Amino acid sequence: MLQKLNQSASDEAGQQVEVWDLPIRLFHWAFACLTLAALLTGFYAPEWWLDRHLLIGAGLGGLLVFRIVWGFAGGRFARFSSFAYSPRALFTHLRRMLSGAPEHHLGHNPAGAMMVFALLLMVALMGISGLLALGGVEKEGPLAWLVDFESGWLSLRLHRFGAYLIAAMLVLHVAGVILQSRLEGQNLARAMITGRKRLLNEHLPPRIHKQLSRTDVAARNRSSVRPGRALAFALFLILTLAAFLEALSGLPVRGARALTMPASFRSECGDCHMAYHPALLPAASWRAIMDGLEDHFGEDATLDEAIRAEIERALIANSAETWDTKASHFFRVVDPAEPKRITRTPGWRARHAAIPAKVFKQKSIASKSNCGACHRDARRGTFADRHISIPAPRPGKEIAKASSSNSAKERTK
Amino acid sequence: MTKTSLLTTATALLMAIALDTAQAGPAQKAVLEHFAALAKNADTGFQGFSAERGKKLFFDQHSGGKPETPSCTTCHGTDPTKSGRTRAGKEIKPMALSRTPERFSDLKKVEKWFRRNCRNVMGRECTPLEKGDFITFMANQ
Ligand code: HEC
Ligand code: HEC
Ligand code: HEC
Repeated sequence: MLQKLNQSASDEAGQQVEVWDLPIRLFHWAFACLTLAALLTGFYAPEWWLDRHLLIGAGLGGLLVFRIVWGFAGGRFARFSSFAYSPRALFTHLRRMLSGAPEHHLGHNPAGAMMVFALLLMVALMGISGLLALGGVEKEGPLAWLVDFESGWLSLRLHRFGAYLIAAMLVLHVAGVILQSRLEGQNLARAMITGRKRLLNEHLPPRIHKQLSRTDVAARNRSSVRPGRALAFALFLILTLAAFLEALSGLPVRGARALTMPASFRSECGDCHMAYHPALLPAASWRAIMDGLEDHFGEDATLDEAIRAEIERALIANSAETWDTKASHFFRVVDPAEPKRITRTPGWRARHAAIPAKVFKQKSIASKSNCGACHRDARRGTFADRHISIPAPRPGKEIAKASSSNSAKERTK
Repeated sequence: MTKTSLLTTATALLMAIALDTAQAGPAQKAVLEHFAALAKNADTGFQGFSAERGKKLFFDQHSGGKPETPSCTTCHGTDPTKSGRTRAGKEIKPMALSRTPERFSDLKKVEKWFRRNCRNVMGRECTPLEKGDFITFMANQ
């Protein structure tokens, strides 16, 4: 019996068989592209590209859901069960691979399988840490109701670390594919495009996969469920998840509140510069500012005592210590030499260090203190990444994305 | 007050208002009247406000104030019909009444800014005469 099978098997050797079904191929390349795009936008894009980074993340989330469904309902080689190797199998594989006498697997080999699981898991974890960071730091997204700044900040650090890890894994993955291609004498990357692999003698008789002939392979490669149904189910899951996350995004943001300031604040502190959000400095700094209005950064900003006291009270009641926004955390610690300046706090300087001094001097900005020139949401005190845009040197021309007409409106308000 | 001094005050007031303050509405006229009365009190020889003097006040480089702000033009710009800019980068609407009709209509606001800006630029408060001159100049722009 075995003899006969072996016989028919060697007849089949050298033939092309379809291993990767179309959905898995599409998935693979979409996942590869989006992962790269996520890494690139995460590492290199300016802050105001966050929206795009999030869109890419959402795409990856959708792909993950599909992959999990397909891991149970997809073709033979797409199913998780077909490549859930034991650690021992992985170890044997690696040893033989390094000694130049590898095992051959028609589907994922143990090392490749390991990489698939690890990458899927890592990308899922990146999604979760990303949403935690988005919620805690940016106060946006489906977890903004749940996470405080500290946890969000920690998640952001883990998210960044994870990105390095994924980059390293991708390098390893590509190296593995190249090595295994050499050993098998066939281009495995192309196999992920065409879906076809050449059947090698070594694939037969495969002890682990019991596929034997080309027709057998094809037959067993078929989805166990009707693929249309599995895809529809994946789509349904994705939409449900999206709706759920969308609903969560509507919940009240943790630690957020509406700012209520006396009317005098906007009129008296908003003439020479935007009326800075009280969360931008700690109470001690506001007290110092309100006690020294005769020489307010080289200018006289004196007020009637009643109004002065009213504004001071409101500033202190809403000072940085009373908020959980990122700006309130960044600028809570002031420069002891100049405690009245937001723009001298270590947090402010670190975040604007990359901006050349001449940018601040340019006509459309004029001063570091003119937050609203670059932060369209400065008045709200949120300083969301998506609302950052540096205006062009000459008003009217644009270098950065967003619309300067918006920021101009915000400035003159 | 004697009869004659009353008369001169009245003429001064009238002159102040009759000056070519073409753009000035009732609110600005009231503010001007207020300064005219104060100027008259300070100097019985008060002859009314002068746009010329106001112009000089606006364009001159002063000393005695804060080094960052030697002149009104530091913030208000050299063309009263155009917007100026604070040191912190915020736009200041043109001072010329023809461009910003709500200027000089609220005595409290006017006094607040004269107090601050004159101290900034000259290191002292402006006199009622200077204030009236300045407004008269801007009302003609
Ligand atoms: C007369 C004009 C004027 C008024 C009114 C004024 N400021 Fe300022 N403020 C300035 C100037 C000028 C600076 C320094 C800007 C610079 O260096 O670019 C400044 C700077 C500041 C800064 C520091 C910004 C930085 O660079 O970190 C704070 C905080 C501030 N002001 C608060 C207030 C508050 C609160 C009020 C209301 C009580 C107020 N200001 C009213 C002119 C004014
Ligand atoms: C020249 C334009 C410009 C001005 C003026 C400016 N910023 Fe920024 N700010 C930026 C840019 C660009 C970034 C993003 C820097 C980066 O890539 O991390 C930023 C980042 C920030 C962040 C951190 C956002 C984040 O999540 O990383 C805060 C908070 C912030 N700015 C507050 C302020 C405040 C407060 C002021 C005014 C006192 C101010 N900025 C003035 C351009 C500006
Ligand atoms: C440091 C910047 C600065 C300087 C210097 C300055 N101003 Fe101003 N001035 C302002 C700002 C800001 C306002 C309020 C802006 C507004 O109301 O649109 C203002 C408003 C005024 C107003 C009130 C206008 C109104 O609408 O009622 C008067 C009057 C005035 N300035 C006079 C002067 C005079 C006179 C000088 C020179 C001695 C001077 N300013 C110099 C910044 C300045």
